[in-house]
Amino acid sequence: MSGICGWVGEADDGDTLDRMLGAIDYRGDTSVRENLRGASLGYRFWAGRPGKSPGVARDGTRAAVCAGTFAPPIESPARSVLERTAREPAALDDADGAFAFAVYDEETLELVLGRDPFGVRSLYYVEHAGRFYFATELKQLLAIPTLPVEIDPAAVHKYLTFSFVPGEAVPVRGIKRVLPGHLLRYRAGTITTAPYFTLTESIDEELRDVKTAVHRVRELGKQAVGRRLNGESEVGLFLSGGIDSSIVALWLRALDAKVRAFSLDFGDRSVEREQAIEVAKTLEIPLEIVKVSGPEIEAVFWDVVAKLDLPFGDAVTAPQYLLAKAARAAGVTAVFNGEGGDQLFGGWTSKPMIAAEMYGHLYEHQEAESREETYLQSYHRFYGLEDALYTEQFRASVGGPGQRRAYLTPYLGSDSEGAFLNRVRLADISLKGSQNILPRAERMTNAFGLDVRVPLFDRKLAEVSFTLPPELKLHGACEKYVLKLAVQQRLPEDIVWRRKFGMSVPVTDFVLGPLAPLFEELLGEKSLAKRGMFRPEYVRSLLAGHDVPSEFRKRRIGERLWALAMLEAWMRTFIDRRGAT
Amino acid sequence: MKCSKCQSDCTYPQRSDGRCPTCKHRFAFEPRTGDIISDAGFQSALDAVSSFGSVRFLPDHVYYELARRRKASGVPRTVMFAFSGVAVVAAIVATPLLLLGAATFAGIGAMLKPRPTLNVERSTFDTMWRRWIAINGQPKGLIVRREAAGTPYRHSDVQHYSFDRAVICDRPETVDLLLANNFHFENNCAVLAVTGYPEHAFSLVREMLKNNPRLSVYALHDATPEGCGLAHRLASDERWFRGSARVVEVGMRPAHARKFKGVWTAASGTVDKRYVTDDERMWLEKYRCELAAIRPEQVIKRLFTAITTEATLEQASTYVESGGDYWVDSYSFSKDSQASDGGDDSFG
Repeated sequence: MSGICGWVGEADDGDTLDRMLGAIDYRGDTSVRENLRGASLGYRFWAGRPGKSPGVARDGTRAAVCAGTFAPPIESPARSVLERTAREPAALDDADGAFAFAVYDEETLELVLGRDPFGVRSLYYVEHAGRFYFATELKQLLAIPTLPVEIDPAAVHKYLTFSFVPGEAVPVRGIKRVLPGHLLRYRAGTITTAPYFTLTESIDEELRDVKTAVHRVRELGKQAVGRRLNGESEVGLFLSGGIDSSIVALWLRALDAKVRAFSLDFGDRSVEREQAIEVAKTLEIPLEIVKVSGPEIEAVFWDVVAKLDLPFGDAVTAPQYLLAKAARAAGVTAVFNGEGGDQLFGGWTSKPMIAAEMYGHLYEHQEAESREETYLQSYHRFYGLEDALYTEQFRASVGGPGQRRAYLTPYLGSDSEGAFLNRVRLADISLKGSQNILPRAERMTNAFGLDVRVPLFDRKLAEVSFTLPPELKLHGACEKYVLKLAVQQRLPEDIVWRRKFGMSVPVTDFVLGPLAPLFEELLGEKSLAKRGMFRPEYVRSLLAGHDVPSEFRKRRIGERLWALAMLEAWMRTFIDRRGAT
Repeated sequence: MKCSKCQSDCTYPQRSDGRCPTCKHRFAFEPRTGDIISDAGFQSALDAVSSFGSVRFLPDHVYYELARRRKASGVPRTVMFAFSGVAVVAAIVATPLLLLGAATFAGIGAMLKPRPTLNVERSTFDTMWRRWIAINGQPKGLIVRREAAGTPYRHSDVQHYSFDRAVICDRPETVDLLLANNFHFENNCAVLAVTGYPEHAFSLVREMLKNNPRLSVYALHDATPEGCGLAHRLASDERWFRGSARVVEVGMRPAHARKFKGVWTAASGTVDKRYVTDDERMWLEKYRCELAAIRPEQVIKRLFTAITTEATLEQASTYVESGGDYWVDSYSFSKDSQASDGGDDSFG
């Protein structure tokens, strides 16, 4: 919900901090500033919200600002981080939730920045004009009047592979971000970073007993939901009709929480609408169906871009925005979702990697292909299509080979210890989960001042998921087996055991149909020529509804066009206009 | 004749040394001295089977592409009609001289009639193929097996998992086509040949399939007696899927092969009636047609459609029962072939 920002260094006699706080006026109606020797910290929040705790604290020479919430809720997150970081190493062993904080000591002149374990909240920084600036949103840094704003082609290159920007870099040259579960220390121009939270596999032999494993997951899951209730009289739930959000619904009801659910309706292209209705009926939860059509997406497109802050190339963002809008209109201030089930408990994304692993390198053309490259293909954006998409000029600017593989090498790069499934899971969590699913969900809900609660990305639950024998996650071809066993007696059989279809946005229908004029403008000859990044013939072919001959799925056309259009819209908003809307 | 390297044109005298006068690249073929195709024509065939470099292919695909092109560039139908017309007129007028002429015309006409089987000898193609590679190197997208077999799985947990579906082929080459084009990766799909290929993964993959009680199996094959019996065999053999999985026929059957006249191979002998209709049996007693006669892009596209379209199973209305404990869906790869998506001869 809230946001923070600040700077360290030479005194700023302007109104930069005010500008940075003003850039996130949709994250609160009240700003607080804490001025110290050699630093200034800012905090923006909604005053008077239930369960809202102080986000600013001071203790002698030290002061802290903290955006977001801890799980379980605590009286003062800012006070807590002030105490937790007072010693070395920082006491963050049990820190969980959705938060980003900054602590400054005017005696040592050291600044400490931290992000929650899985990266629900973001934290960016940049060194400029003798000062070190930080903020929870990119647009706050772009509000620094003298900061040069230039595109970083290497980060764009990664975006075009993943559909989001992974790692520390963002697509604005010079700006970086703190990684999830990490602490950054800045002192006298020196930056050091270190993780305070790392997931590792450690199989618990006790959990080979299925009953024991099921019991543990069920109990920890319920606790994870409970830790995220913060005294609200009613909470929202984004209910897709799939197993993950249905489980969260079940656990919310088990904890006697008053819940109101919201589900998407794509008309005759809906995949799980009927299942969502069935779950809501079974658990006696009021359900609001939110209709999503092309014109509705077009109407909110530019605000989606602005609120996303970074380019996120998955078309699910606009429907999420419309869900959040409906939830806000219904009067809730916090919404739960079921994100994380796939990443922690072995969803369908493991299967292609297992298929590839089984066959190995049978052919000469695969000889040099690494497991990391196989994984990169699973994102289905432009990996392997660079020749078709990139202009010579853009290709020359994106940097050398191996940049994208480097994110995966720690997990997939060797035959080190650990189950293959868990190694793929760790790669998924660190990339898809922490740098895509969680931040984009947070931004789409916060577009309407809502707090997002993601109980399956709970620290304790995640740690236990890596003590489970992997075959309890992917059991034969059955995904998330242990989760299903944990709830099979309380949810309809069809919901629990049916094959996953995923929340599929009919993106190709949208972008080649009602959104076509918008997309043709964003990706038209004039626009492409101005950027000089992409080959018009390939983009034109996508716009005409044709992809490369080796691509048989029609939805890929829409997915690729959405990723390109989102990038162009993001560049117009954040590079051309510095985030001004 | 065009040079396949620099695209410049030259006359026969200009290339008397067998090289392009512009870039000095050596020509692989010389139609003037008996080769059945030019370099540019061969390159065009490679472009067609590889969908301009985006789909991987085998030499067999190029062979069928050449045969198809040779057939397409044969005697036009109008010429054949002219021969037939002259014969008919001669028969009506019935003078001895004209009759003699008519007989000659009819004989030539019969000789020029497109034959249903391949008109390029395999040995001729093999020689051309070797020559092309010697001069131009391996074409982009060619599937070449590594001498050392693929690295098998390296993690003990992998054997506990399974696949959503399996495509079982009647020959290793079809497996190569699918695996080299990442079909298994894109579709969470096991791909095996009923003959035991690929050897390094065969046993384990087959065991892993048993871990999925809701497995869907697709039988992909040539139009041969053995191929047409594949789905039946998979559904009835306990070592495969007897009683454990739905087997869907998605291979090439005679009804489909009929649209590929010109690239059939001749055959003889009796055909087991249990797996084919009378109509299919009559065709199979004379001919065969390989799946490789269809361009790779089309094979993969149609297989993808078959395994992902719900309609596939709805249309699979013909159940073949035997013994009551297994059944076969008879949705065929061929049933929805239409001119619009490359049906008839253009399907290839």
